[in-house]
Amino acid sequence: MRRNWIGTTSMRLAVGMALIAVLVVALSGLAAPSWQPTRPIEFVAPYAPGGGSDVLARTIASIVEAEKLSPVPLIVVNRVGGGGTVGTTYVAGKRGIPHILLTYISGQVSAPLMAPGAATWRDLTMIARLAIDEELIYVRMDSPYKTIKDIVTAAQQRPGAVTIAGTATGQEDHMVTRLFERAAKIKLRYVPFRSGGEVMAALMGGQVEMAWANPNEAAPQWEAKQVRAIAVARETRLPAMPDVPTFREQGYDVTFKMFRGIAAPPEIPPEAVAFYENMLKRMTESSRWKEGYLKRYMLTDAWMGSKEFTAFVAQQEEVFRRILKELGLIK
Amino acid sequence: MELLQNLYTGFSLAVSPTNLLFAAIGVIYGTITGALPGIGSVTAVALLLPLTFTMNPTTALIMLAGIYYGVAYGGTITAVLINVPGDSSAVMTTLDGYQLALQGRAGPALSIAAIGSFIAGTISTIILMGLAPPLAKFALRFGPPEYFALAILAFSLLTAFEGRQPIKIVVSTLLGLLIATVGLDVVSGLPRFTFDSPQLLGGISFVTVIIGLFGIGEVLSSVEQEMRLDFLRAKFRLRDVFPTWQDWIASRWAILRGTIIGFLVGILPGAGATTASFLAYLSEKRLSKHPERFGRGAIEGVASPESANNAACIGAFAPLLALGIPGSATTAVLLAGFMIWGIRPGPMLFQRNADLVWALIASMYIGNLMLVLLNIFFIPAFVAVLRIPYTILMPLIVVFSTMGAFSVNNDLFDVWLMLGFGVLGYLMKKLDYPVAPMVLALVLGPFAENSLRQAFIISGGSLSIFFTRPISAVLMGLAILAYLYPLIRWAVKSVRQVTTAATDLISARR
Amino acid sequence: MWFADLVGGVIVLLLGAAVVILSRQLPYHAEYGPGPGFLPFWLGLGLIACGAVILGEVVVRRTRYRGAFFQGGTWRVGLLLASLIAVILLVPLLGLAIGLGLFTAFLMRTVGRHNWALCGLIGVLTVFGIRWIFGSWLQLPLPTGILGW
Repeated sequence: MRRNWIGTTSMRLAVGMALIAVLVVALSGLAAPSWQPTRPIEFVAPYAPGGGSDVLARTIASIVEAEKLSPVPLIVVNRVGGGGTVGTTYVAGKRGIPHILLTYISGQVSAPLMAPGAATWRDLTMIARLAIDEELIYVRMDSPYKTIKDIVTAAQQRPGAVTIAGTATGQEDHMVTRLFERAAKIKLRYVPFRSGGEVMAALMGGQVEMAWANPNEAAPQWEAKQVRAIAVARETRLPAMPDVPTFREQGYDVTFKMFRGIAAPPEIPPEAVAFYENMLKRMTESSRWKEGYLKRYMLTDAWMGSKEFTAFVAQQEEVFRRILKELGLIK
Repeated sequence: MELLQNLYTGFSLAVSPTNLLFAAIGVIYGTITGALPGIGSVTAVALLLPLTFTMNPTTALIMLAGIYYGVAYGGTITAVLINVPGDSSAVMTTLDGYQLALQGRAGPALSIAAIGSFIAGTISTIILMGLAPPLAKFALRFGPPEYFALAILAFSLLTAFEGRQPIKIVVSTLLGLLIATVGLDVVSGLPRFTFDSPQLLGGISFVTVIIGLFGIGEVLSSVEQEMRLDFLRAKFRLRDVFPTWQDWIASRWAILRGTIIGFLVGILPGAGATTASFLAYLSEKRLSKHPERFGRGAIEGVASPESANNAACIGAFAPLLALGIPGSATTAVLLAGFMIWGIRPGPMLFQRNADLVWALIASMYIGNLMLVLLNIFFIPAFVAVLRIPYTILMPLIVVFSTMGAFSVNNDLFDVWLMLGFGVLGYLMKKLDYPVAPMVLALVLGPFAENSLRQAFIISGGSLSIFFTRPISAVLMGLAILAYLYPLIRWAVKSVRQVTTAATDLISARR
Repeated sequence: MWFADLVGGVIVLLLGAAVVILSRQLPYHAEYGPGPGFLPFWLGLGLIACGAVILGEVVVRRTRYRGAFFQGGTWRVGLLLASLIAVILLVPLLGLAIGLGLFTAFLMRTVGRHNWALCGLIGVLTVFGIRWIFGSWLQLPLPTGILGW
C-alpha cells in the first residue's frame, strides 16, 4: 500500500514537472530566447571539405553571419573519418557544453550501428532538420536501360550480376539499393567507392552499369546529357527534374530520405536548444538559404524542430537497422 | 588559331589588377600554409573558400587555384630545411633534400625544386590547355583493375630501395600496409583494428605518420648526437643559393620525366600528387646510373618529386574542368566552390564559361611565374633558418610538428599518434630499418587493396578482369616484368657466360 | 647493438602473431574475392616470417654488430619525450600554446644551456606565435587551459 502511495505521489510530481517544463519551453519559444552564446561556436562538419556536410556547415555559418542571427560567429571545423563517426563522437563527448554544433545527416544514424564505440543520436541533442536530399539511379546516355522495368528485367535474367555503384558500404546508397532489391524481389551487385566523385568517374568510364547519386552530384553530367536519370526514390517527382519519374510511378515502392540536420552535445540547457532552433528557423527563412542553397543543390525544404527531429531520427534508426540486418552487415 | 584567341582572352582577364592581386595573395598564402606541416592544400583552400562567396568567380578561382599549386611549392621548404614535409606530396623530397641541407646545400635544393616546379607547372598548363577533354576521357578508362595494376607496378619499384638487410625493407613495407588497414574498411564497411576507439575508426592519418616519422624521428636522432647540436649552421654564401652546372645536368631529365609522370597520375581521379611524387622519385632512382646516390643528397632526387607533385596539381584540373569530376580531395573543395559561385564545371563549362576557363589557365602561367620568383627571392631567408642554433631550432621543430599533427583533425589524439610514430622513426633509424618503404606502402596499400576488391566485385570473382582489359593487361605485364627483372638479368647473364664459354671452347679447339 | 636487433626481431614476430589472431575475427572471404580479413591475415604471416629471419640473422652474424644501443646523448632523447608527454598531459591545465611555450624554453635551457632571458623570450614568442598563426589566422579550435589561453 505504502509503495503505491509513493508511486502516485512521484507520478504526480513527474506530471507536474513535465507540465512546467512544457510551459517553460513554450514560453521561451514565444519570448526572445533567454540564452545567448557568449563565445564563438565550434561548428563541426564530420566529413571532408567539399562534401555535402561541409558545404551545409559553411553555408549556414555564412548566412548566420550575413543576416546577423547570432551574436557570435560560427567557426566550421572538419573532423573527418570513420563515415562521420569521428566528429560525431567528439561532439557527443562535450556533455553540457552549448557552444558546439554538429551537422547531422542520415549516414551518422546508420554508421554507429556498424561501428561499436561510436556515438548514436541518443548521445546528442537533436536541434533541427533542415533539408532532404534525394537518391536517384543514373545510367550512361548509351545504356540500354531506360526505365526501372528494364533494370528489373536485366536483374532477373542475370541475378546478382547487374552492377550498381554507390558511396561506401552500409551507408545511404547501399541501403537504398537494398530497398530497391526488396521491392522488386531482385538481387543487384553493389560496388562501393570512396566518394561521390569516384562513383561518377566509375559510371562515366563504364566500369559499372548504373550508379546512385544525388541530383547535385550528377548535375554536370546530367545537364550535358551524358547521363540519364532512371528514377528518384521519393514520394513525388523532384520539382527541379520534372521529367524523371519516381520509383512508385514505375510500380516499385522505394523511397529514401537523406536528411540534413543539426545536432548539439548532450544535456545542453533547453534555453540553448531554443536559441539554436530559433536561429536556424530564421536562417531557413532567408532568401540566401532558399535560393542560394536549397535551389542550387536541388534540395527539399524539410524543417523540423528539436522534438520532431528527435522522434524522426529514432524512427529512421529502426528503418536503417532493419535494412542493415537484411544486408547481413549487423546481427 | 582559336587556341591563341582563347589564350589572349584569358590573359587579358588574368592580368587585370584585381586578378593579379588575388593570384599573388593565393600563391603567397599557399606557400606559407604549404610550409606549415599538417596543413595541406585541402585545408588551405577550404579555409579561404567562405571568403570567396561574394567574390567574382573568376577572381575567386584564380586565387584558390593559386593556393593549390602554391602549397606544392611551400611543402618543399620545411621538407628540405628541417626534414618535416610541409605537405604530404613533399615526403619524397625529404629523402634527398634534407641530406643536401646537411651538406650545406639547402639553397641549390630549394632552387632546383622551385625551378623544376615552375617548368613542370608550365608544361602541364600547356598540356592542360590543349588536351584537357581527351585526357580526362582517357583517365576515365582507369577503373578498379587498372588502379590495382598501377599499384602493383608501383610496388615493384620498391626494389629500388636497398640496404644491408633486405628483410628490413620488407618489414618496413609490411608495417606500412598494416597501419593503412586501421579504421573503417571502405569495401566491407567493417572496422579493422580499431579496438572500439572512435578516433581510430577514422584510420591513422598519413600526415600524422609522416610528421612523426620524419619530423620527430629526426629530432630525436639528432639530439642524441653531441656534435650534431652545433653542426647544422649552414655555411651560407649567395653563390651557394643557386644550383651549379652539374646540378642542372643531373636534373634536366628528372624534371621532364617528373612532369610527365606527375601529370599522367594527376589526371586519374583515383590517385593524387603524393602518389605521383612517389612514382617519379622511384622511377628516377630505377633509371639512374648511380642509384646509390639517392637518399644521400642527390639533387635529381629533389627535382623529380617536386616537378611531379606540381604537374599532378595542374593535371587534377583536367577531370574537374572537362568532366565535373574531382580528381583529388582539393579539387573536391574547388568543385564545392564552383557550386557556391553558381557555376557547374563539366562538359558544358568550356561552352558556357569559356572566359573563366581561359582566365584560369592564363593565371596558372602567371601564378607559377610568381611562385618561382618569390621562392628564389626568399631562399636566402629560408636558408638563414638553418643558421639558428640547433638547440633553439629543435624545440621549435617539435612545436611546429605538434601543431601540424593537431591540425590534421583538431584533436590531441593525433599528437599522441605523432609522438608514437616519432619514437618508431627514431628506433627504425637506429636499427637500420628504412622508413621510406613504410610511407610508400601506407599510401599505395589502401589504393591496391580497395581496387583489388572492387575489381573482384565487378568481375564476380574472376581474375580475368586484370588481363582482358587492355590498359590493365599492359600495366600488369610491366609489373610482372619488373618483378622478374632481377631473375631475367641473372638468366641472361648466365646464358651469356655459357655461350662465351662455349665459343671460347670452340675457338680453343680450332 | 645485436641485442637491440634481437628485441626488434622478437617485437616483429609478436606483432605478426597478434595481427594473425586479430584478423581471424574479420571475414577472410567476401561475396566475391578477398574480404576485410584477407590482407591483415597475410600481413601477419609475413611479419612472423620476417621476424624469424631477423632473429636468425642476429644469431648467425652476432659478431658483425658494433656500437651500443644507448649512447651518451640518449638522455636527451628521453628528456625531450618526457617533456613533450608532460605538455600533452597538462593541456587541460595549461592549454596547448602555453604548454608548448614552456616546452621550448625548458628544452633550450636544459639541452642548449642558453641564458634564462633568451629562453623566456623565445618561449613567450612561441606562445604568441601559436595563438596568432594557428588560433587567429587558421582558426583552429586550440585547447585552452584554466587561464583561458
